[in-house]
Parts: sequence; structure tokens; C-alpha cells
Amino acid sequence: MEYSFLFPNDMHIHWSLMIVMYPYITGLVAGAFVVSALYHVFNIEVLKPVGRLALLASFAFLCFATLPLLNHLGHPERAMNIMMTPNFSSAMAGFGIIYNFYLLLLTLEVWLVYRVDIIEFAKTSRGLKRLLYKTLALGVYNVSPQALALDHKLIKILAAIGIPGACLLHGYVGFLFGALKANPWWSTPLMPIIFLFSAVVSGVALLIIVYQLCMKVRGEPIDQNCLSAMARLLWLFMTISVSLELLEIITLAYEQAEEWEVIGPLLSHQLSFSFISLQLIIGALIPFILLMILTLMNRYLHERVRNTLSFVASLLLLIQVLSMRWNVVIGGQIFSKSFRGFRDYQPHFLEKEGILAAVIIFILPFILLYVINRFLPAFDSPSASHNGHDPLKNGTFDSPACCYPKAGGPS
Amino acid sequence: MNKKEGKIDEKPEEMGRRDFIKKGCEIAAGTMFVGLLPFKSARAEKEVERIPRPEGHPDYNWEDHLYAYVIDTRKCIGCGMCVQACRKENNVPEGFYRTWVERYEVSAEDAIKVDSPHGGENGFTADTPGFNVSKGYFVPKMCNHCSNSPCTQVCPVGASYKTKEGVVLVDDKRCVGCGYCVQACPYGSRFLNPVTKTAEKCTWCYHRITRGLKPACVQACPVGARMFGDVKKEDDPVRKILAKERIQVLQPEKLTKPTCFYIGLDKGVR
Amino acid sequence: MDFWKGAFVSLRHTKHYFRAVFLIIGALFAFFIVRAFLLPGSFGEFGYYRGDNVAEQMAKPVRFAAREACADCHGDIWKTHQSGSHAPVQCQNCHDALAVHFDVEKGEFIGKMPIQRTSKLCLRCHDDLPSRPDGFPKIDLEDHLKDIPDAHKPEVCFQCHQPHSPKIGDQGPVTRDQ
Repeated sequence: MEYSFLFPNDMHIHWSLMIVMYPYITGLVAGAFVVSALYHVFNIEVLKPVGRLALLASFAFLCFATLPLLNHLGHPERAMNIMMTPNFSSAMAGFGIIYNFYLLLLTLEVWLVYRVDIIEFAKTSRGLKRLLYKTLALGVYNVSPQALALDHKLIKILAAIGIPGACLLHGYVGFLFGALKANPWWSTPLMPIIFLFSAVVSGVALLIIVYQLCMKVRGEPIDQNCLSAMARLLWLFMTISVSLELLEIITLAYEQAEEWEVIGPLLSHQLSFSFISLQLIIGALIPFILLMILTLMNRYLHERVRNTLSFVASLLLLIQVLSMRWNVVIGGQIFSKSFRGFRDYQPHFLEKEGILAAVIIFILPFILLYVINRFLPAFDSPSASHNGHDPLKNGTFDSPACCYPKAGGPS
Repeated sequence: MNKKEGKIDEKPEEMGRRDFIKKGCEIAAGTMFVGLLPFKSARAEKEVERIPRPEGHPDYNWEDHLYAYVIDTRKCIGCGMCVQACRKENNVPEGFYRTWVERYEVSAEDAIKVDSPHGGENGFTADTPGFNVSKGYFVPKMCNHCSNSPCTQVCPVGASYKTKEGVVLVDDKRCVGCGYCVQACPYGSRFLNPVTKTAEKCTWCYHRITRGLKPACVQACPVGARMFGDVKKEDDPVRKILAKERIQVLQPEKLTKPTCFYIGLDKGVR
Repeated sequence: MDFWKGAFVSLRHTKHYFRAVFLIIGALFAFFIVRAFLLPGSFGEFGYYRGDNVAEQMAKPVRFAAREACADCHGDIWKTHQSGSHAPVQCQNCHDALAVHFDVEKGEFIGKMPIQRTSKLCLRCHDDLPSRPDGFPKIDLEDHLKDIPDAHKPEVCFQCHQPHSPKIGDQGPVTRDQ
């Protein structure tokens, strides 16, 4: 086996850095949505401070989820073919339907959550802004208790659909890889599940970071209960995610299947940095310890220590998930299908599908998030501050009559 | 649908608002129906099914053919004329291969050395010293035109398909260049053409075989290691080989059911 | 249950839903209308692909003519070639595809056929490589040329062998006929 050989057509990596970014971004979408759903569906009250932020972040990332794909396609102008003539024997054909379904669901969810605010803004603003809000409100200014109660129920239903929806959106991405028998590094039924859990990890980690940054910018205190709850979630999901990732590799190694001849060297040589150093040690072991300290010694920790620990752990986990995507997408193409040799892939900084393009694609959702936040604020909502009632506060809307907060309820 | 629109143009002034809305709904519903059932309605008027034919061959009927390919690795001398011919015939871009030839050298210690410089296009030269070859052979490779082809399965837009003669083709006017088929092919037979930006692969020289010629690689082979035939023809030599000889396919465990068959494959060949 | 009851009891409070649903249905309609226009007519004719592509694939130009095509103009060499041991090697292998030389349909001359005059061409097939099957005429170059004074010259092979019919003493006309 010391003589390497690549199939002549295997000299090139066809799925570039862009295809690493695509599952990374949809993962953030799915993960952020799960957090918002935990609040909206499961009434986890501690997550309230990030409930709206999670929704907006999910929406902002979803808006740009197709961008890396479009940048990668040889013929982006034909991209609509995937919806015009979806070949349903292909896993990829589901993309148009799943993506649009999820975009619709998320748009409706954001719209319903913000409807009271939109109407409030439509009433108080002037000019173009007023027109914008009026259009967003679809010209209906009904904020009667009955309408709000209905809205709230619908939000819950949509969020409940959104959880399997998020699983579908991201499980589908995992399936794209997991269902290719030609590639032993991809072909495993575990792939969608691994993708899903790492998606939740990246989503929660992203929210911890964005939430802390937002609070810093706004000069407001960080809600420690919320932060601790997210850190606990993060710890749970990262443990599951990393266990699954390891399980897949241990099984392959233990089975000593034919493909281990190529996957073994792949992990220990070609991917030694991005797999062993980044994905396993820096990205998993260290945050695992940090989050363990945070979870188990939570009440002994100073606020600032808690903030820093969760921030660092989240940052490392974001890197872990990115390196995991890299190791899957690029790792699966680094070895030739001859199983006899490896090629090399180093994205250039300035090429069409290079590092700069990836960075821009990753920054764009944050810009969009900033813009959306200007129109639909994630933190100060007029519906909460002006008339002192938030229809999304909790799930106690048994009848339309009791949609006003009870005295002494959480505010 | 067009007829309905024509009717509206004839007498627009006679229609009240209600009628107009009604008509509009009808048109919209009709259009939606057309959209949902694109092929049936589009071809409904043509009662006779068209049969695609190459120019000057009015008798060609693709239902009468089922092609198969046999590669006898015991005969291959590794001259690479087939690779060269393929590139010239199909205008294959440099650095990519619709067909290629691999050289296998096995030492007495069972170490396997495989190479394919430029896909074997310029032939092979004496190999590096120090490797003690106890047996060696050449293996020409190409698209296996699998019956259960993973590449056509995964094409999201229906740009890759199998013709009735069993040839797997790519429609370069619909291909979006996503590269999923390239990933799905276990044989490395597909690539993304850097010029057209679409997926490309061996077509068994579809433009030649439908005109009664042999694929360029088969015609170029000086030793008859590459054979192309039609299993629907009684006296076809390839059909006879498939019926009488012990044949193998590449990576049979993938269950892709190739229709490109091999004679004399060694265990090291993947 | 409450949700549906509420929705139907008080239509007044569900006005915004109806508007949203109307927008969604409108978008769906728009999509199907656009789709109907953009879909190629032959899509789905024979299977889930654009039917016209089959004929397009068939219409691609043939560059390598049939083996026998050369005989039409170069009858003498063809005869020599066919009677010699290189008969299974098509002319267009060592020269080039007919498409660079002659347009059959228009009957037009396009350009000269390249002629390779180096031993490299011969060695492509006859070099003594261990992977080459036994029984095929293989040449150990050093051994084969040990008594030849011009062994280093690229065209050394053609001093003794006529490529169209390489067996020594079995040679027809060397030059091409016009």
C-alpha cells in the first residue's frame, strides 16, 4: 500500500469550501430554531431573553443558506431547475421543497411573533417606514385579545412543526452525504443524526455568543439564568454530538472494513490537524471540560467567569462544528475512490469559492440580523414595554379572555 | 391554455367583472394543471411517439438495441491509443478523462503498484527501478453504464439519464453543475468539465454508435481488448462472450450492475 | 381544538390569516405558471429528462471516420497496410482523426495529416514493459539496437521497418500515393 494511485479524474476536489459552508449555515439555522422552539413550544421560560433573537438569527441564516450553493454551482442561472424539474429519486431534489417549506414556516413564525410590534410600529411611525410596517401587517391592525390568543396558538403550532422541520432541513443535508454508497467516509445512516446534533450545538453556541455581544453593546446585564440554561443545553448536545461522531469512527476502525485502509490514514495524516486537533481536542475536549465546570459548579461561579467560560466554550464549539463539516465534506474527497491515494485541498484566499467568499457568506447573515433587528427588535419590544403585555409570555392562554398577564406573573 | 387566452382577447368588453374573475380563475387553474402535469399535456396532441434518430439513419430505433461493452484485460498492451482517440473524438478537456488506462504491477511480495500517467494517454514508459514485478497488466477504465446507476439516481434536475439502449448520458443544457453525480460514481468516471461547467462522462460515443460506427476507443484499440456490441443482435460477438465466458464487473459489491464487463480482472483492481 | 373553534367562530379575528394564506397561494400559482412556461416541451417525453437531448447527443460530429474510409483515396497504402501485420491498427491512430484532414460531407480538404516519425510512436506498443502481455511482439530496445550504428536517432526504427507493414522483407510502397 505504500504506492499511491488516484483515479485520473480524482485529481480535483469538486465540492469546495462552499459545500463546507452550506451545512454549517443550515446547521446554525436548525440549531437556533430549536432554541426558539424550546421557548415557544416547551415553555422553557428561562430562554425567554433569547427567544426572539433565536428566531431572527435562524431567519437571517436561512436567507443566506443558498448562497454558498449558488456560488458553487457551475450554472447558478439554472438553479431553478431543481424546483422546475425535481428528480425525486435524488436526495438533492428535496432541497427546493424543504427549503421553501422551512422559509415559509420561519417567515410565518417571525411574522406572528412580531405582529403586535409591527402594528404598534405601523401606528407610531411615519412615511416609508409606516408603509413598510403596514405592508408587513398586511393591513390588518387587529390586536384584540381573541386575535392574539389565536396568534399565540398558531405560533406554538408552527414552532412544533418547525422542530421536525428543522430535523428535516438539516437531516436532509446529512442524508445527502450519508446516502452515497460510493464514499465510505460518508455512507453511514448515522450521518443525518450527527449532522442534526452538531447543528443544535452550533446553534446554541452561536446564540450564547450573539446574546452576550448584544448585551455588551446595549450595556445591559446578561440574564444569568438564561445563559446557564443555554450552557447546560450546549453541554448536553455537544456530548451527544461528539459521542456519535466518535461512535462512527470507532465502529469503522473496529470492523477493520476494507475502507478503513483508506480512512485510517486519512484521519491520522491528511486530517490530523482538522480532525484530531480541532474537532476532537480543541473543539470538543476543552469546551466539554469548560461546560462541565460551568454546569456542575454553576452556583459557585462569579458572573463574569460564567460569561467568559460559556463564551469561550461556544466559540470553540463553533470551530468544532465547522471543522467537523470540513472533515466530512473535504475529508470525503481527499482520498481517491481508488482507495489507494490522497489528493490535497487548500482553498485559496481570493478564488471564487475561496476563503474570502466563505467569510463574506458567513458575515452576511449577521448584517441581515442587524438590519432586521432595526425593524423588528430582538430585545426591546414595544408590545412589552408600551402596553405592558407580551402575548408570547407563557402558555397560559386557555381562553381568549385571559390573554392579559396575571398580576405577579413573570414579566 | 393559449386558446382560452385567445377567447378573452376576442370579446373582452362583453365580460363583467364577475365573469372576468371567473375566467381568470379558470385560466389560473388550467395553468396550474399544466404546470403539475407538464409532459402529459405538452405531448398530448402528438399521438405518435417520436423516435430520436441520427441524421441520415431513418431506420434507427433505439428500442431495437441494448449495448454492452467488454474489456479483455489480458489483451490490453497499454498503448493508450483509446484515451487519445477519446479525447480527440469528444473534445475532452486536458486533465480530465472519459476513459483511461491503469497499469498494475504486482511484486512477489504482493505489493501492488498502480499508475496511470495522464490517464495513459501518451502510453507507458519503463517503470521505476527497484520494484520487482512478478506480474503486471493494464486495465482500461471508463463509465460502466450501470443498469442501476447511482449517478442518474442522484441527479437533482433530471439532467442525467439512461437511454433505451442502456447508455447513460448527461444533458449539458439542463445540468446545473452541482457535482452530486461525480460524488455518487464509485468508479471516478465522471467529472465537471471546466469549460462547460457541467458534468461529463463517457457516452460510448453515442453519436457514433447510433450511426452504426464503433466507439472511438474500440475502433482505436489495435489488439481487440475493447469490444462493443449489441446484446439484442443474435450473432453479436459481445453477446457471445457474455453468454460463454467468465466475466467480471468492477466493484460488484456496490450493486450498480455495470454493463461494461471485464475479462481477466485481478483481485487488486478496484 | 380551541384554535380551530376560535378560528371559525370569530372570522373577524382571523382576517390577517386569510390575507397571509392568500399571499402564499398566490405565490404558488405564480410558481406553477412560471414553471409551465419555462419547462422544455420535450421534458418527460421518454423519461424524466429532456427528450430532445437524445437527438442532440446523436447529432454530435463524428471526428474519427470508419477504419476503411482511408482506402477511398489512399488505396495502395491501404492494401499494403491490410496485408501486413499492422492491419489491426487503424490509420487514424498514428496519424490523426480524419476530421483534421478531410471533410467527408463537403468533400473538402482541410489540412495535412500529421506523420509521426519517431521511435516513441513504435515504443508505445512495443516497448518491453512487464505489464504488457506475453506473445505480443515486445522489444528490449538496448538489445534490439545493439548492432545499429544510428541507434540514438529518433527515426531509427524506420531504417529497417516500414510502419504500414513492419515485417522486414514484407514491404509495399513506402511513399504515399496521390
